[in-house]
Amino acid sequence: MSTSSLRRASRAAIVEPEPTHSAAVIALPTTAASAPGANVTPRQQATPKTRKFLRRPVLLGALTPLALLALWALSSRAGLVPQLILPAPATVYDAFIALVQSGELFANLSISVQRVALGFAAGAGLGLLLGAGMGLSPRLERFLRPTFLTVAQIPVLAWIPFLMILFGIGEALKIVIIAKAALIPVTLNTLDGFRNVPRAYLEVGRIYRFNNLQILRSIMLPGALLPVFTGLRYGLTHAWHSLVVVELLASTEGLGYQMVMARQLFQLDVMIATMIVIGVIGFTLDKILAQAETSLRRRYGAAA
Amino acid sequence: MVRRILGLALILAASLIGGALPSHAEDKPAVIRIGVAMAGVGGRPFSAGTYISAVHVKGLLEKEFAADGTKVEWNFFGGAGPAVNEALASGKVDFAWQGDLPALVGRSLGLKTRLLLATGTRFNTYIAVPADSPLKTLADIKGHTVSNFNGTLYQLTAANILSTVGLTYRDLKIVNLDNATALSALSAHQVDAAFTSYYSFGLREKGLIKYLYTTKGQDPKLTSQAGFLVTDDFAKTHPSVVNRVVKVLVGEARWASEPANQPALYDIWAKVGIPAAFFAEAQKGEDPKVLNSPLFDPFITAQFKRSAENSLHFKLIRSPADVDSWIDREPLNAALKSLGLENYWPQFDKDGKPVVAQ
Repeated sequence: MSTSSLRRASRAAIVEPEPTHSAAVIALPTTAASAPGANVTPRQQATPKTRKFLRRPVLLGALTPLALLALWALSSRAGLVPQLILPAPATVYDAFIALVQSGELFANLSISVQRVALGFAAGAGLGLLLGAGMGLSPRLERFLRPTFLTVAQIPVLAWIPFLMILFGIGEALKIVIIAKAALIPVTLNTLDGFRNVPRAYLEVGRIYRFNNLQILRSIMLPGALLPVFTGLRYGLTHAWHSLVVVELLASTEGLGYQMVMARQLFQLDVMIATMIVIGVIGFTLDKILAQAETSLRRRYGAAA
Repeated sequence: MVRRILGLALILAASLIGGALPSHAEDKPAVIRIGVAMAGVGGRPFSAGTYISAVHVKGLLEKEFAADGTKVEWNFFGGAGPAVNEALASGKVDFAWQGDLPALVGRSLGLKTRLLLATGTRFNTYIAVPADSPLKTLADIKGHTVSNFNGTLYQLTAANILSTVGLTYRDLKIVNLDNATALSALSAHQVDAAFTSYYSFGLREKGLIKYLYTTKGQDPKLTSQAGFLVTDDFAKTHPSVVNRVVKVLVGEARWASEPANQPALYDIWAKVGIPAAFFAEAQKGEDPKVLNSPLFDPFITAQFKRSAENSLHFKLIRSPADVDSWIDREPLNAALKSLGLENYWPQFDKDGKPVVAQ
C-alpha cells in the first residue's frame, strides 16, 4: 500500500505544479487565496456563506477516524475478524502503552526522526540549490530538467536494489533514499517558484535600478517563498513516507524495524500501534507545515 | 482399475445416501493444505532437512488420498515460520511444518493447533563471518551488525547461543534478513556476521566466508527443532485424515532414517538448490535415525519446553505457551503401532543422553 501511494504522491508532486503556472501568475498579485502547489484548504476557498459550516473542519475531520474506530471495535467484539488478525482497539492501545513504558517507542522514534532530519536536510538543501539554479538560469534548466525529471520518475522501490549495492544496507542507504524523496518536490517547487515570479515585478526592480543581488533579495526570494515552502512541505511528507519504506527493508532500529519485528513475532497489536504512530506523526508534521504555510501566505502572499 | 471403480461406486453410494451419513462424507475433505516454513533458493517449491521433504517429492500423500478424490496442496513459504503463522491464522492451511519459535508464537497467541510430529530436529546453526573478518570468538560479536531471520527458529537459537557467553540479542545490531539475502550481505561486507546454516556452505567453498561458531558437536540443547502440526478445526472434522497423514509421514521418517537411503534423501533435499554434498557434510558423523526421528522423546519434549520458557524469557512471546497440552501423541502412537515401529527410533533423556531400553 505504501509503495503505490508513495508513487502516486510523488507523481502528483511532479505533475501538479505544471497546470497551475498561469493561474499562479494571475492569482499571486491579486489575492492571497491560491498558489502553486495546489495546497488550498477548503477554508481559504470558501465563500462567506459556507465558511461558517466549514469553520469546524477539526470536528468534521475527527468524524471519519471515530467512525472507523467504532467499526473496528464493533467488528472485533462481534468476532467478524479473528482477534489474531485484527486485535481489538483496546489491545492495540495496551500495546502502545507498553511500547511507551518500555522506552522502545521513544528509542525507535528518535532514530527515525534523526534519519528523516538528516535525509531531509540533505535532500531539501540540494533541492533548493538545484531548483533555484534552474529557476534563475534558463540555460541550466535546459541542461538539467529532462534528466532530473527522468530520475524523479523512478520510484523509491526501484532505486533500492541499486542503492543497496552502492551504499550497502547501513545508514547511508537510508539517508540517501530519504534525501532523494525530499529532493524532488523541493527542486520542482523551487524551480516553479522562481520562474513564476511575475515579470512585471522584475521590470519594476529594473526601473529602480536594482542590481542582481537586490533583485534576488527583494523580488525573487519573497516572490518564490510560498511555492518553495510548499515544496519543503511536500519534501518532508515524502521523506517521512520513504523512511518507513527503507526501515522496513533492512534496519537494526527505527519505527519501520519495530514494525517488521512485530510482524515476525506475530505481535499485530504492536504492528498496528506503530502504524498509527507513523500516521499520526506524518499527519502532525504536515499539519504544522500547513499552518506555517498559511501564516506565510497571509504575510508574504499579500505583500508580494 | 478395480479401485477406481470401487471408489466411483463409493462416491455414488455416498452421494445417494447424502446427508444420512455426514460423518463419512466429512472425512473426505476436498483438499488437504500443507504449509511448509521454507522455500528453495529463489523461491523453488521444495524443502530440505526433513523426511517431510521426501513425502512431498515422492507424492506419498497424493497417492494415499487419490482414491478419496482428496487433493493435497503444498504451500512453501519463503517468509518461513512467521508467514506460516499468518496462513494458519487466516485459515489458509490445515497442516504446517514450522520451527519451534514461530510455532510457539502461534501457540502463545491462541492459534488452535496440535503438535503431531517432531521433525528437522538437532538442526545446527552456524555463525558465518567474512573470510577476512577480525572476529575470533563468539564473544567478539558484541556490538557488531549481525543478520538473522527474525521470528524463525534462528532468533531463538541465536538468543540461546549468545546467552552461553553472557550476551543478549540487544548487544548486537540485528538486521532482519532471510537466508539468501543475509549471505549476499555478508559477502559484500554489509553485515559483520550472520546466523545461518548449511545454506552458507557454498560461500565457504568460494572462500568468501568462514565460521566463527557452530552448534555442531556442542551441547545438543543448543540445536533447534521444528514440528509438524494440524489445526484444531481440521483435526476435529477429519480425525481419520490426520491419522492417515501421520502414518504416511512416520513411514517416510523410517525410510529417511536408514543409512542406505541417505544419498537418495540428500538428492531430494538438493531440489531446494543446495548441492547434496552440503547435506552430507552437515549430517556427517550423526545418526540418521536420530536426525529423522518423529518422536517426542524426553529430549525433544524438553527442547520444546525449554524453547517455550526461553521465548518467554527473551520476550519473543508475551504469554506462556504450554507444551504438554499441545502435543497430541495419539496419531503418532497409532502410526508407530500399525507400522510396527514402536522400538525403531532411539530415545534420549531431557539432556540429550541416550536412554537405555529397560
